[in-house]
Formats: sequence, structure tokens, C-alpha cells
Amino acid sequence: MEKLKTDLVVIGTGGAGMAAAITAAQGGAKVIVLEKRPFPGGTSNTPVVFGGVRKDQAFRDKAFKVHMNMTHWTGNADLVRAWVNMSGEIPEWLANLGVQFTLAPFQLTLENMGQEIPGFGGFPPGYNIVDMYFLKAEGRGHGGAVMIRRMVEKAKEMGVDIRLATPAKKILKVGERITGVYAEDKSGNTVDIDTKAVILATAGFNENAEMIKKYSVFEFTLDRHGNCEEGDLFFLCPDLKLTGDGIKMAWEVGADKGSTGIAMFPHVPGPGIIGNMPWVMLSQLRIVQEQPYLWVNQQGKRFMDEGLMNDHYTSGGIIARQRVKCAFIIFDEDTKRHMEEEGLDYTYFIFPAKTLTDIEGDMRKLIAQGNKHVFFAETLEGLAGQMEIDPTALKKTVDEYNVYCEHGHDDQYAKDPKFLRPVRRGKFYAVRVFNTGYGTIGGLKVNGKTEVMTKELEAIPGLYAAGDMIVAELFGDPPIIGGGTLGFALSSGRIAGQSALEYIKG
Amino acid sequence: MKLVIEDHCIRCGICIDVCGDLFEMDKKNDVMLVKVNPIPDHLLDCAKEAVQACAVQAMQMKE
Repeated sequence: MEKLKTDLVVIGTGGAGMAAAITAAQGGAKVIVLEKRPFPGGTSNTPVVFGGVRKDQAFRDKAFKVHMNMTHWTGNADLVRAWVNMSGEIPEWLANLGVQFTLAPFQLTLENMGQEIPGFGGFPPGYNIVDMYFLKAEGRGHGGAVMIRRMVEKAKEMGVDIRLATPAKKILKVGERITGVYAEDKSGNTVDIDTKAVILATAGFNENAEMIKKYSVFEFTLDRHGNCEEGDLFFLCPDLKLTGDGIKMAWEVGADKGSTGIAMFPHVPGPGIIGNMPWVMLSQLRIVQEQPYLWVNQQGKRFMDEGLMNDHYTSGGIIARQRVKCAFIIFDEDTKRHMEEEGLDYTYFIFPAKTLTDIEGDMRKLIAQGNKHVFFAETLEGLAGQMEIDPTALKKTVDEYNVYCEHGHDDQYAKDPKFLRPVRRGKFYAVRVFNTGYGTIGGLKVNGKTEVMTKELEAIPGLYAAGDMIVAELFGDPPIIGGGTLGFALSSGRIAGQSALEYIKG
Repeated sequence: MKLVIEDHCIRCGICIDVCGDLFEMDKKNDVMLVKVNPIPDHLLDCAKEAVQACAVQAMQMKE
């Protein structure tokens, strides 16, 4: 058994863990970082952007108010305030570490913060409070991986002891205080670490079927390239080995369960759509899948204002309430040509300025690859047959919808008239989506200093958490928004590092 | 020509997207594998593309 003594143990080497470790080391703490995989980065290897509220008091105040009002004050107000205040510091802090990024073109102003901004996407209308920064990437990968590599280099330069392939197994507590961690090295030997404080940054539980079932509405499948035949949720990010270890270790020492959810993103499953890196676009149907045209459920009925489709968490939640937890976008030849020739109504900001070409050709390729979620037919009845939807129900829905299009008013859900495009002229096309998760969110309850809390809402001295495992605390219980996690990981990691430093120094 | 995957590979799998005939993920052991080494002639171009696509520049082609 190896015995070590340190000021702080950080568990996890994603953005949250590395931000915490570097912050504590910058403050003079002796830090050991444990990572169960043989390489660093975890969930943070996959994002392309991070967000932050402008470093300006008026921006901070307004962002805080917009956020708290959006969550009906069910979000953890102290944590929200701490995150809002810290997030504006992150760009400068990262730049000083040598991390490279560029500010996205649609900067917020005090006037448009909290307003719907066309092309922003991903969040509910009006929940626009952060500026977005695109991380510099290498090859065809995502900038998160490059950021992590730089953070690891910087941490090592400062003397942080980073131990890869060394999973933490148990947090030790004597009385009320955290006193140590047991880990296991590559050879299976126990590493016994005496420490004053622990920061958990182990993200979520994407690959723990039991926890997904218990803490969400889904039956998930591990097969990201499959056809959702064995589940109704799959995760967008690659095989991350996220099994909820840190959350469970905290529960074992008395932590309360915090808000949990899935950061949802409705998505076409199956081969040919999503590459191993989640933001590499293999098929243009990734853009078709969020257009605000006619959407129906498995019963052939409309079920939402389709103008919300690019608010991924909201549309994901609505689709999760439909039969079989899936939905179909349906469009005709005219709308296909509209997308190809006139342009798109919605483009997710991660895939900007895309023009679609030969949508049918792309569908044919996917079908040839075995994808069972794209359909086209000469008639609506033929399309319904492929989709396994009652053709009479679908025709009724389409007829009603076409009347709304003729009148320029959506009697059913008051969708913006500019998105009312009729479904009249063959060929007819459809794409089926299920929910993906960017990841699970939440698991632990914390205060504004990211101290982990008990059921009695008392902080556990010396135990902190950061990143995905607490992000749901921002959004209420259950969380009403999901996503935006890298910006929070970096901010909450910094907050946890500062709080732990304060505790260590007594 | 041989392909070497270095330790700082993050198993993101972009190389599989680019050149699926050459790479595979060993999920059990958490490692990325080169299926055939030396690289067959007909896969040399896609191997080069995979090296360029790598998110953390963790691959090298060596004589």
C-alpha cells in the first residue's frame, strides 16, 4: 500500500477538476489529482464552446435575475450568484494558462440579454445570459481536448501530482470531517491518501443503467450508432466511463442527493448521423432534425409549437412525454427545396452557415447504411406506412395543419407564422428523433461555496463538488434547463478550488 | 509504414470516423487499437487523413 499526504485531493481531470486543481495550486496548496482513465479530460474532451457572463456588474446582476426568474427561483440562488460572478473571470484566467479560444460573433448586450436571439439556439427563448467562446481545436477534434491538455501541462508545471488510471474508491471521514481517500493504482494496489480536503469532479452517470432508470424517465441504450431498438435514450458523447462513482462516494459519507436530470438533445439515432466526436457532422440531417416545420408523434398527432425545436432541453422534455418517447419531422418536396435553395430557418450555432444540398440523396445513403429513422415516399399514406403511423390520423393532422398554413395562423399552438409550411406535394419526407443526452446532470447538493451538503443542509467539512455532478442545482429540482456545462465546470471548479484553499488554510 | 498511437490518445474515436477499416476501440481495456500494422497500401491515404484529424495529435506514421 502506498501512503501519501497532501492538502487536497481532486477526483477527476475534466474542466472542473483541472480548474479546481490549478486554482488550489496557484494558492499554494499541495494537490493530488486522481483520474480513473489512463488519460485526462473526461467529459471535457468533447465540448467545442464554453459560456460566461460578461465581467461587468450590470451584466452579472441582469444575468442572475434572468436565470432565477427563468427557474422560478427553484435554482440554488447562492450557487447561481457565485457561478454568474465567476464565469466572467474564466476567459482571462484560461487565456493566462495558454488556452486559446475566440469569442462567438453574437455578443450579448444589456438590452438583448434575456431576449430571444435568432440563431443562438440550444436554450429556451429568453434564456440568453452568456457570451460564447469557441475553443481552438486541432485536427477534426473538439477544442475541449486541447484545453484539457494545456491545463494538465500547466498543473504539472505547478507541481500538481496527476495520477492517471488511479480511480478513487472511497472517501474517508472521521467525525464530521473529511480526512482521506482510498484509491487504486494501475496494479490494483491501494493508495491511502491523507488529505485535508477533497473536491469531487467526476461528472455524471451516463453509463450507469440503474441510475439512469432511477433518476430519469428513460431506458437508455449504450449503442450510440444503433437504432434505439433496446432503449429510448442514447448519449451524444463517446464512451466516457461515467458510472456515477463520485456521486456514490459522496452519498456514502452522508451527502444528500441533489437535483438530477439529462441534458437532452433530440436527435436522429442510427448509423451515419453521429460520429465518435459528437460535433463532427456526418450527415446534414443533423440540421434538418431541428427545423420548425410539422412535427408529429407516434400517434400521428401534433404535440408542440415546433418553433421550440431548437431549444433542445425543452423539446427533448416534450418528446420524452410522447408515446415511445420519439417524434417525426415531416416535410414535402416544396419544403425540401426551401431548405436546399432558400436556406434554413434554424441553424444551431455549432453548425453555422450551413446550406443543405440533396437531402434525399443523404437519406438514401443513410438507409443504405441501415439507418431506420429516415423515410421518404411518393404519397403521405406510403410515408405513414414506413413510419408505422396510422395513415388516417396522420392525414387528419396534415389536413388541419395545411389549413393553418393557408390562413397564416396556427390555431393549435400559435407557432410563429413564418414557420408554417404546408405538407402538400410529394415526395414526402420524414425523420425520426429520440433523445440523446449530452450527459447526465446533477447528483449532489451544494451551497454557494460548492461545499457538499447533507440532508440537514449542513456542509460536510472538507468536501466539495464541481462540474456536471452539481450543475443541475442551477436549474431547480427537477432541473428545467440543461446544457451549458463546460462554462459551469470551469467556474465551479475555480469556486471549489478557492473554497477548499480557504478551508485548508483555516 | 506503421502507425503508432501515443499514450495521450483520448479515445475520442475520430480516427474511426475517418478510417474505420484501420482503427477500433477496445472498450474493455479502454484503448484504441490499430487493426492492421504495417498499414496496407490501400489504407495509406485514409491513415494519413486520420493522423491529421486526431484531436490531440496522438498518432504518428513511422517507417
